[in-house]
Amino acid sequence: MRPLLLGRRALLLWSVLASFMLAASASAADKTAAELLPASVVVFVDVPQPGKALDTVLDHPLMAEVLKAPEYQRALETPQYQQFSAVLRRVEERLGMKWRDAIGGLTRGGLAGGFDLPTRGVVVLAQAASEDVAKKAQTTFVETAQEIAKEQGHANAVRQDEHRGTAIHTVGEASLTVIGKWVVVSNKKPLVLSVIDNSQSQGETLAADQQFQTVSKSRPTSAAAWLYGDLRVLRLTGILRNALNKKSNNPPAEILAGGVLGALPDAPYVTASLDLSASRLKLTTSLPCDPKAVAKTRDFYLGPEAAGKAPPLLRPGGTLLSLSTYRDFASMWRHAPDLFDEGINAQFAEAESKLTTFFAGRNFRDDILGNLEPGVQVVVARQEFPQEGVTPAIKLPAAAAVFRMKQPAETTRVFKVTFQSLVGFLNVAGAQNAIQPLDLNSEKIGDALVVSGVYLPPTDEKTRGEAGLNFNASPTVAFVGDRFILASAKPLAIELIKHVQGGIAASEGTNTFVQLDGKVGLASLAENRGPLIAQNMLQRGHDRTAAEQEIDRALAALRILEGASLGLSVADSRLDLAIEVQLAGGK
Amino acid sequence: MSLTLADLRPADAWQRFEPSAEQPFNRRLAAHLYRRAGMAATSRELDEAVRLGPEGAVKQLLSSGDTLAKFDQEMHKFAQVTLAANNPELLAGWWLHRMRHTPAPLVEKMTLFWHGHFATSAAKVREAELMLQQNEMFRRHALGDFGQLVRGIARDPAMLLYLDSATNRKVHPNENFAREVMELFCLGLGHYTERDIQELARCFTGWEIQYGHFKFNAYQHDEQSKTVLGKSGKFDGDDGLAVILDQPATAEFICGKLLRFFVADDEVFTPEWVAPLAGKFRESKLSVAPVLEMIFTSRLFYSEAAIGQKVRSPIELGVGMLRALDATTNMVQLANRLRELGQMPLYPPNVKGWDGGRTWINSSTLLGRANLVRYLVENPDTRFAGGPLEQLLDKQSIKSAADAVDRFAELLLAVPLAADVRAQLIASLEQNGSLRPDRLRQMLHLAGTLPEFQLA
Amino acid sequence: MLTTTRRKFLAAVSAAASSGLVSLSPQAPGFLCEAAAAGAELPGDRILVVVQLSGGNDGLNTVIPYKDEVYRRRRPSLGIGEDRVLKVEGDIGLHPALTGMATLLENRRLAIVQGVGYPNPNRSHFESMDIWHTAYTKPQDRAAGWLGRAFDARRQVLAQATDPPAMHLGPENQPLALAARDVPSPSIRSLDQFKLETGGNGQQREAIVAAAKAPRGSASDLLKFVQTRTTSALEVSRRIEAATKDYKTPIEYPGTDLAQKLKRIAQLIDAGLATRVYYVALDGFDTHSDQRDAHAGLLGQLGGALAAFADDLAAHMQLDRVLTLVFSEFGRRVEENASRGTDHGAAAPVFLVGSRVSPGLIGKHPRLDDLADGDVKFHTDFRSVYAAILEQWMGWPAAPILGEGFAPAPVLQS
Repeated sequence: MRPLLLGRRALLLWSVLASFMLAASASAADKTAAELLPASVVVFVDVPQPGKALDTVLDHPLMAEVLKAPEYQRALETPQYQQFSAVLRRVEERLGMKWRDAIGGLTRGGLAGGFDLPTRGVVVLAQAASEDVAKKAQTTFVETAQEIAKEQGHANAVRQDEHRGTAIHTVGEASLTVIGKWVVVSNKKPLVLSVIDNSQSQGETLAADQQFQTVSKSRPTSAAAWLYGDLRVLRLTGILRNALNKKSNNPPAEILAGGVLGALPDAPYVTASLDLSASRLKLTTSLPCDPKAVAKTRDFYLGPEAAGKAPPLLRPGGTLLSLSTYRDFASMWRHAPDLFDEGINAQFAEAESKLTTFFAGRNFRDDILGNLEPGVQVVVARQEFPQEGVTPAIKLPAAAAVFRMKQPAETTRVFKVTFQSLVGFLNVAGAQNAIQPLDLNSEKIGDALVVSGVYLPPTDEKTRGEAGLNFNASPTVAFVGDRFILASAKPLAIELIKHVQGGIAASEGTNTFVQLDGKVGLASLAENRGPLIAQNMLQRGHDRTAAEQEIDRALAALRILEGASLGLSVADSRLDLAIEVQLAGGK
Repeated sequence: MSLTLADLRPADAWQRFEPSAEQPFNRRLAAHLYRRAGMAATSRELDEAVRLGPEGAVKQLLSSGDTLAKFDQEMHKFAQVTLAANNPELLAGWWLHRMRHTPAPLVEKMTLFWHGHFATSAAKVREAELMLQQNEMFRRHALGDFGQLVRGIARDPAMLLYLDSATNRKVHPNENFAREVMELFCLGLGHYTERDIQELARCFTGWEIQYGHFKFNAYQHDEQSKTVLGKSGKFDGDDGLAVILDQPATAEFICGKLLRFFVADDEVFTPEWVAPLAGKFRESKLSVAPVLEMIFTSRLFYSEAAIGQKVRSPIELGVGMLRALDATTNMVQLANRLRELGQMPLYPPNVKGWDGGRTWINSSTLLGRANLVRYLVENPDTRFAGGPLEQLLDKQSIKSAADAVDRFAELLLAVPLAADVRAQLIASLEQNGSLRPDRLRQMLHLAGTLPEFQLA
Repeated sequence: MLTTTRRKFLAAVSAAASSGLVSLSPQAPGFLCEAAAAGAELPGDRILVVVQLSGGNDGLNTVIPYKDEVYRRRRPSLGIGEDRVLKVEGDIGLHPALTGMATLLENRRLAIVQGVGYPNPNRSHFESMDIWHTAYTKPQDRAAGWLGRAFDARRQVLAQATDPPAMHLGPENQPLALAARDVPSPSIRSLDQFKLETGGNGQQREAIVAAAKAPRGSASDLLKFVQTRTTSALEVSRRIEAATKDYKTPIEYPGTDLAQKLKRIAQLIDAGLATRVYYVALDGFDTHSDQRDAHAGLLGQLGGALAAFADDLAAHMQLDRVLTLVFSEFGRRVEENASRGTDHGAAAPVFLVGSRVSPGLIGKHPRLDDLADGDVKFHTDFRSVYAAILEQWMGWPAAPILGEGFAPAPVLQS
């Protein structure tokens, strides 16, 4: 039976404890982390002010909610956590201070980490406030480790040796050393040796690498955390190219990330930086590449010459989620033999023949998809009820997609007829499941042609206030000018008619943009409180009171999320992905 | 040394049970009462029952229907919300939730009995709303008038849809419902002729279900005279039912089923045994509560011919375990697992309902039962009195392994543990003589696989 | 009932005898062969596997009268020409995707019963399937299926058995054919339902077995019953887990769903379960449009699965006691429709796989110039096939189950 301290899991614990440990070292000028890491590190992470970041996270109201969540409570009951907690308490006792204070104080100079490809090892470096503080921490660590090891019957678990005059302590797979104010921990001893070499200017460091130097120059100074990934080695080994050149069997993945996947094999590096504050979390990732070259195989994603631009973002009232993206589906379908494997292509062929029948004999790929401009806008919005006198028991938001047609007159007719067939089919299928039929209507609203199917209201008065799920839908297609709106609910379609000519213009180079409104999301959930409570009662077996408590707590926690967004943009020589979350509360 | 019915005489067995020094009304007998009349009892409920004594406890079980009002309302609202997705499987989860939390276990048990008796499966009916309606009708009359129940079921949309009897035309009377009323619901095989079925079918002509509602279509009703079971007249459906309800065979049939459901699976209760019960049933104008009272206060009920002489149905096993340990879990998951054991609520296998008894026991169901117990104790979603299982030991101040085994055995098992088995359970729960709470789940799983655990 | 090992011994001896090793006394091999044959012939051992093709299999494109003018004329795009069929005999060939069945024919393990149906054919999926499942053409008492009724008649004996009399493997609802009033048959999605879950804890499993076996001095009859059932359930579970884990087969089953289900059945049969009937279904035969590729795919699945199954059973010396019936609820119309598919029809062929079937074609192919309402006419009532299975294979009287008047069809070797 291996004792607690051995084993990979313990590395996390060591990372914490490492901050408390310093060994008396020979003189070492204070180098930066990059000057200590070997050049073979392919992933480098830097956190300049860990203490501040930790405070922001732990003091945030959202963290308070997480601590109250039942899942978290359950995690606290697991035996692994109990063991971890016991060790932590011991360390706190020895130091005479709480772990948060200890960490804040002893990573004052920064925290960095690296993944080294040759050794497949991970190394963590923490720069303490001073060398003296470190000494105390070191003895704490060594003694605690020896104590626990003895209790578990392994008297000589902590080994000590030295390299170039620097002491190294090893327990199981983990090794530690201290250089100046730096505390170094790794799960591969050779990596620690490399760091010691570098500290005495005896090795190839990451800082000396040309690419790293260039990239570091453009590193944003205010970032809470920064990541650098060196893809050259991977590129040389061709691993990436092979993996990515294998034809995909996942069309949705291609639609979502095809452009990025296409750029990866040739990219020399990738960077990411994290901005963290009480009200905002923003992750920006950058991938240098030649977009025009990528666009040759993936023009459905980036557009010809990588010039594809997302249409404006639509935000009618009550919008929960709004998405705008440049995608040419016809082009993707045409390139399917290059992008996808045999199986998927067979499915495409099958689908094409079925859909051609469905669309009144028009070839689906060329006549239907081909008649849509690349660029689609999607809106998900909360619905107002009652609609036509009916309120469903569970209120779902409505969704709509807006396209531009290349040949409006012809395409309008085809889509209109197809929609009518669809409604007919839904009515027959629904009849077999005792669902009311859709009443098909065609009307002119201003310049727009609106064809909609609305469910006949239930005959029973009582049920109209608590109707079935299907009453969330009133499928609608609308045609205004060259715009084609496909919506799950008529009010949303009509609302969008007013907005289609406007919208928030995308900035230059935006390929995809998604925005989520937290308040609307919360309102959407809150108006379904009853069903959520019922679901909790069923899924947890709680009685009503306990279920109400849990749901209300979850809703209160969600109040903190104000919004989120994701954007992919294409610049001359790189792809940028920015993800942002806005939070309420905090200073 | 087990007593069979052969050792008892009906006249003695139906006398009232009097607690005595040899057979006091202790926690063991109280547990037996609750296991049969409900799903199982917690430790507190056992104490309360002992305090009330056998008559008092039965009275409380029978009358707790009156205190149900608030719970009923809440459950009704809960059910309505569940209906929104029109998924009867969710409704099955709802009913399990109700069985677990109800303050009136006997009402719920009888609802389950009627559901098995007037079997209707959601697999064919598919409308959750109609299944709920039927379920609530069973509950309304669970302890009440059997006649009202039968008249209700004759108009129940779910039942008639299930039996393909949603229409019944004068020209070609639909015999399905009439056959089942006689064979399965009221009389049993051999107490009627094919002619009676045809005549009864004529009584029900014009009884239809339109868009989920009962309607009487006068144009389709056969107005002529019919002769059912020797009685003649211009009967309509209710009249036909009245003739059937009057038959002595009806009282005997129902009481026979109740005896089997509540007392013992295997025994063949000859007419001699059923007669006193059937007499009571007729005397009370086919009201169920007095019959149940007679059963639960009889010497027969507390004799060795009854205790531990039934096989636990899957629902009793699952819900009973949760109730006894004051536990809650994911009810929809529980419903799905019960399906694998052959008893998903609202989904009886056929119109005969669940045969029960030894048919619950075969290679795959026994393993399924063991796996269900393991699922209940190991699943992190299962909370025991709101906390993890180990917390129960503290809450009940259990300090030793032997104590734990004995307490849990009392709550969960219908028959005493053999010495070897008890020793094995204790050994699994301790190390070096002291109680190991982290082994509790394993011990409970082990207990759940015992043959003893399958008995009620 | 013979145990697996004894049967294997007898089979091995029989094999040795027939290979001439025991040639000292001319009588001896014969005697041993007889003994082996008699042992394998114990009716109590025989198993029926039913493969249901759901949707209405196009029999005319499965067993093909490829030279028939009417066939070529009525099936311009779906017709299969002489160059592609797998020739059987006379003017009949099999669909080219049925290479598996062709192999079975070569090994004399396949009987093709032509022109099977019933009077007044019903073209509704549900109705016709119910008719095949219950063997009742009138919708009277369709509460129990033809096999279910057989079980009900035997319920006293079956009540003593440790394993269910029939098992349905698949996610569909229990087939009506197995439904019985008194005897339940489980529907199993996967063999996991026979698995005792212990989280991989071998000690826990041993503890459970020990606790179940421990003597209970003063047990009631009911407790004793449950105890014996529990120990045998644990034993069955162990057998099935061992059989599926250690099951070694030289046969490479195709990766298709049907083949894997048949593989499971082969494992269960080899594990020595007392189950007499296994039931699986293959769906997708309702090819109203664009039939060619879909039908070919399904038939390929069917042929491949059956061939592998038969080879596997033979390799484990179980083929002699297993008979596989393949049927569909109706065939399809002779004339193809405008969507390059076919619509619901009537009579169609039925297949039987085993070492004791009467191999090859049974009955003539129905005439395509003498149709009933555009459909092929039947000449063999499906109930006579059932009668042969019930009486000659399972050893159960057919008349109480099917009614009078259905003489067993000549599908099995006498």
